Amino acid sequence: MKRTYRIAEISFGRPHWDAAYEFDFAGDHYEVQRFSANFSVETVKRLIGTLRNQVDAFALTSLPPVIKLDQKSYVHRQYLEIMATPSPVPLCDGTGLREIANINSLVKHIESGSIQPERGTFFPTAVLSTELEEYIRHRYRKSVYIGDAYSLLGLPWMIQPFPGLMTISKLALNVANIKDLKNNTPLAQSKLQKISRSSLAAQVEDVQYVFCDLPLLLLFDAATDFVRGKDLVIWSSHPAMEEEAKKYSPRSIINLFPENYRVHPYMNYSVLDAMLRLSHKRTAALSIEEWEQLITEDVEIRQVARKYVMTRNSSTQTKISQGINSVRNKIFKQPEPDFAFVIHALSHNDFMHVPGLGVLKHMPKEWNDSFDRMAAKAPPFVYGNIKHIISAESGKEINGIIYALPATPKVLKASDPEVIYRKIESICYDAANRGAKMIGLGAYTKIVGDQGVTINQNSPIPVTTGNSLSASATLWALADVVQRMHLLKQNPETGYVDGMAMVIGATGSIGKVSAKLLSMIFKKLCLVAPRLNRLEELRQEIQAMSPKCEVIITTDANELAPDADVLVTATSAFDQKIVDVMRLKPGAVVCDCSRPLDFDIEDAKKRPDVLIIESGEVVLPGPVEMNFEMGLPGKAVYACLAETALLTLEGQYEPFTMGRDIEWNKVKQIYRMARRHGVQLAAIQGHTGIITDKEIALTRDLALSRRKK
Amino acid sequence: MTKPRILVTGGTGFLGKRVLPLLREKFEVDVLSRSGKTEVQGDLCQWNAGLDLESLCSKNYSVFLHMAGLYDLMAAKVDCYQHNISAMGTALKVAEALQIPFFVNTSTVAAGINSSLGVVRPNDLNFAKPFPDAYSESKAHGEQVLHNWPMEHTTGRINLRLGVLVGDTKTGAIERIDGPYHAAEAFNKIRSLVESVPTSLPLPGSEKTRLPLVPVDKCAEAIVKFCEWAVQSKPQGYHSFHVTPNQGLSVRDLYTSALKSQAIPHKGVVLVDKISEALILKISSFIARFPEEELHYLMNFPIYDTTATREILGETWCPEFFQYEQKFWSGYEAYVSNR
Repeated sequence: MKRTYRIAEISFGRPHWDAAYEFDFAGDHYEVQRFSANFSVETVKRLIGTLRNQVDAFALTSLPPVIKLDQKSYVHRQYLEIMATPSPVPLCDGTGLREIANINSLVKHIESGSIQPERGTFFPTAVLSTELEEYIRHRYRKSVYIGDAYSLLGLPWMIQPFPGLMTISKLALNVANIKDLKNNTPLAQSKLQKISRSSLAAQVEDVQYVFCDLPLLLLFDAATDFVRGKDLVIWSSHPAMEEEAKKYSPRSIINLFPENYRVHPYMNYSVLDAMLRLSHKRTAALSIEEWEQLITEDVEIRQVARKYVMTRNSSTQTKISQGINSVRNKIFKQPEPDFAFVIHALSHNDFMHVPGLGVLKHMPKEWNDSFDRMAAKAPPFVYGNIKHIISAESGKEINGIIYALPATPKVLKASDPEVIYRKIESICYDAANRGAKMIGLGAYTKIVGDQGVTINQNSPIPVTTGNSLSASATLWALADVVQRMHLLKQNPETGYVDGMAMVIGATGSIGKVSAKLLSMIFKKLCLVAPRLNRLEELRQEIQAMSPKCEVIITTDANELAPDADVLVTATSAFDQKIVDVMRLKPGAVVCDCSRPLDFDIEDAKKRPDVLIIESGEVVLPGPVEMNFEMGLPGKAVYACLAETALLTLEGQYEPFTMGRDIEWNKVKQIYRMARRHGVQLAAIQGHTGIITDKEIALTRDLALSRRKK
Repeated sequence: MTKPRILVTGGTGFLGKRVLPLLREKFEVDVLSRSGKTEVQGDLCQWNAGLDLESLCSKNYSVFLHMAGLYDLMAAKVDCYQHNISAMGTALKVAEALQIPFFVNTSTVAAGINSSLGVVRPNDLNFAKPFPDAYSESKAHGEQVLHNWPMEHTTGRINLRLGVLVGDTKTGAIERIDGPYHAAEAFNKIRSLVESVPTSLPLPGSEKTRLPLVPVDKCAEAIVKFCEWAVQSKPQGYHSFHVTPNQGLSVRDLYTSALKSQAIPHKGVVLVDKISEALILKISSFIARFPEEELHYLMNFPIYDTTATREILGETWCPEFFQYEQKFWSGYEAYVSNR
C-alpha cells in the first residue's frame, strides 16, 4: 500500500529558500516542507518540538559543521546541542552519506574529464567539505587553494596546503567550534573586508573550479567575485538557489548530488537520508555498507570513500563541548517534574546495585534480613528521572521524578502501615514542591494498609496506585501471547473461547478485573481465593455481567489447575506455593501478576511446555530517557508508572485508581488513553528474560506432543 | 453576483477585528484561527496548519489574506521566527495547495529599517547589516520567504508594509501602549523634571525622521481595498506597498503634541541626534523608561516611498496626524484611565 511520509526539512541557515514540495520514491509518497532557523538553536528546537508528533522524519540541513580531520571529528557545539533535541522521529543530517556520494560523483567527473582538478580548485571553506578537498589535495597537491581564512575570519589570504596546515587547522577548529554561528558572517561589511574581497578575486584568477555548496555560497551576499567565470561545483539541488547563484556569473554549475536520487528538483543529502530511512522502515541511519550499495557499484571508489566516512575518534574539542552541554543542561535546563512515582527495593539484591554497597555480597546470608530492616530506617530519596515522554496524539512532553524507599517487600509487610504512610506522604510533599502534579505508587507501596486511600487524603497532590493500567496491560499481554500460541479456538457463533480460564487471587483488585474481563471471552471461568464468602459475592457479580459464562469457585487452586488453559495469578503470598506447577495443563499460559512472583525460575524450567509470563510491562511514547535502573530490559516501565504518566499527559489530575477495587470502567478508560497517546506493550517477559516468537513456537510444539501422550 | 471568497488569518487581532466587518461587505469571509470560534479551525504552527486541505479545496477561495503574526518589538527571537517566518511558509503552502490565486500579506515598515536607500522602496530589504531586533528581522525574512516561495497556482503575491498602527480616527481606542504612545508615558514619568528645565527641552530624535503613523481604521480600509484590487486587476508576480501616510509626523511635532496633551508646560524642544545613539537610548530608558527598542525606530525611521500605494488608494486615503490628533490623545487617555 502506498504510504505518505512527511519530512520536515529544518535548515539552520537563512529562511530565504524555504519551500514545500512532494515526490514519489519506491512506491511511497513524500511531502517535504522546509523551515529555517536563521542560525538560532532555540528555533530549531522549537520547530522540532512543535512538529515532532506530526512528521515522520526531520531532515536537518546547513547545520553547524562536523569536520573530519586527521582521523578525528571536530563537532560544533551547536550541532551537538541540536542533535540532542528529544524527538520520537529520526533527525537525519546526511553525514556520511554526503561523503560517499560526493567522492563517488567527483571520481566519475574526473574520469569523464568534466572536472580537471589540475586546472586549479578553490575551496572558499574547505573545512566544510574535507572529503573533497582531501581527495583532490592527495592527488593534485599543487592545484588546491583554500579560502577559509578569508571566509571565516575575513583575512585576505588564500592558503595553499603546506606542511603545518593540518596542525593549524586543528588548533583553529578547537576554538571555532565552540563559538556560536551567527547570521552575519564577517563577509562583506568592513572596508578591510571589501579590499580583501577584491584581492581574493585577483588571487583566484587562474583557478578553474570553485567548490562551494549553494547555501554557504549565498551567505557571501555580494562578496562573490571569486565565482565569476569559474565552474562552480555544488552538492545540493535547489532551483531557486541555483538561479540566485547564476547571478554571480559562474561559467557553469556542476552538481555532485547523485543523479539517480534527484527524484525532485529540490534534493539534498539530509532529505535523501530521511527518505532512505523511511523507505527502509528504519529509524537509525543506514549502515555505510548499505549506503555504498545504493550509491556506487565501483568497489575501488567504495574503498576510497570509506576512508572519509569511517567512524573516527572524537576530538578533545568535541568531548569538551559535550561536557559543556551536559553541565549546562544539568544546571540550567533541569526540567520541572510533571509527575512523581515511588518505588522500593524489590529484594535484598537491589541494595547491591547502589554504588558503594557492592561489598554486601560478601556478607553472610543470614545477616540479610537484619540488614534489610536496618536499611528501611533510612529516609526515602530521589532515585532518578524519566524524561521526554511525548504523547503521540498531542505532542505534549512530560518528565517524571522517581523516589525510592530503601525497604524490601518483606520489611514493608512487617512494618506498621502508619510509618510507611508518613514516609510516602513526605515524598508527596517533596514532589509537590518540585512541581509534580500527580504521584503514583509502585510495587508494594500501594498494597500497604488501605491501598493508597490514607496517603491520598494526606497528600497535596492526587495519588494513584496505577492498578487500572496494570490490569489492562496484563490482560493485553495475555491476549497477545494466547493469540500467538494458536491453541485456543473461538466459537464463531457465541464469540466465546472454548476453554477454561482460572484466576488465582480473584477477590483481589487485579484479580477481580481480570476475572470480569476473562468472563467476557471464556466459556468457563474458575475463581480461586482463600475466602469462600467473598468468592461467592464475586461469582454473582460476574454471573450478572456475563450470564453465558460458567463460573466455578474454589479455595484450592490445585484442584482445577489441570483443566485451565489460561491462568492469572494475582496474590500477595509470601513463601508459599499457591499452585503446583506440575499440575498445569500442557500449553497453558500463566500470567503471574503477583509480587513476589508465585512461580520462580525453577518452576519455569520444570515445565517447558507451559508459558509463564510476568505481568505486562509497557513502553512509554517518545524518546524516553531514564537515568536509573528499574530492573526491566530496554525502555520498558511498570504499567503503574505508565498510568501516572498517562494521567499527567491527559491533564487528568485525580486519584484515578484507589483502594482494593479497580473499577471496570477505569480499566477500559485507561486502556483507551494508553492506545491514544502511543503507549505500547513491551516485549513480553518470562522468568528467563524476553519471550521470543521462537520460544512460543517451541512451547506450543512441546505442549501438543505432551497432550497427544 | 456572488461575492468572491477569501481566507483570512489573524482576524482576531487589533487590526483583524477592524478589517473583518469591512471585508464581509465585499467578500465571503472564512477566518482561520485556533480560537475555536471561527469558520476554519487551524494553527499555522502545525503541519499544513492542521487543516484538511482536500475538503477546503472545494471552497474556491480567490484571495488568501495573511495578517497573523507576532507584532511585538520586545518578543523573543524564537517566537518571532516561529510566527513570522515558519508560519509564513505554512500559509503559502496552504494557499498553493488550495490553489488560491492571490496572496495578500501584511508586513511592517520595520522590515525596511535596514535599507541604505534615501527613500526606501517597498521591496527593499538589506540583510547585510544586523537588524535592531528579532521582530524586524523576522518580518524582513518573512517578506523574503513570500518573495521566493515557489508557487504555481498562487500567481499574485501582494506584500503590504503597514505603518505604525495607532488608534482609529473616530475614538482613538487602543489596546496596549506602543510606538508613539510611549512619548506621553515617558513625559508623565518625568513630569516634574520637564517642568523644572529652564531652557528648551533636549529630547532624542532627528529632524529628518518622519513617523509613519496610520490610524487602524484607515489601515483596515486600505487592506480591504488591496484585496479588492487583487481580485479586479489580477496582478501577477510580487508587488510590495508601503501603507504609510504621504508625509508622516516629525518627531518634534510628536513631542510637542504629547506635551500639550498631557498639559506639561515647557520652553520648546531641541532634538538631539549628534551624540552616540547607544548612549541616548540608555539615558532615555534610564531616566524616562522609554523602551530602547521603540526609541531606535523613533530615531531611525527612513522616508518610505508611497508612490505605488497612492496609485491604488488615492492621494488622500490616509489622514495626517493633525487631522486626528484630538482623537489620538483621547484614546490614550481612555486606555490610561481604565488601566
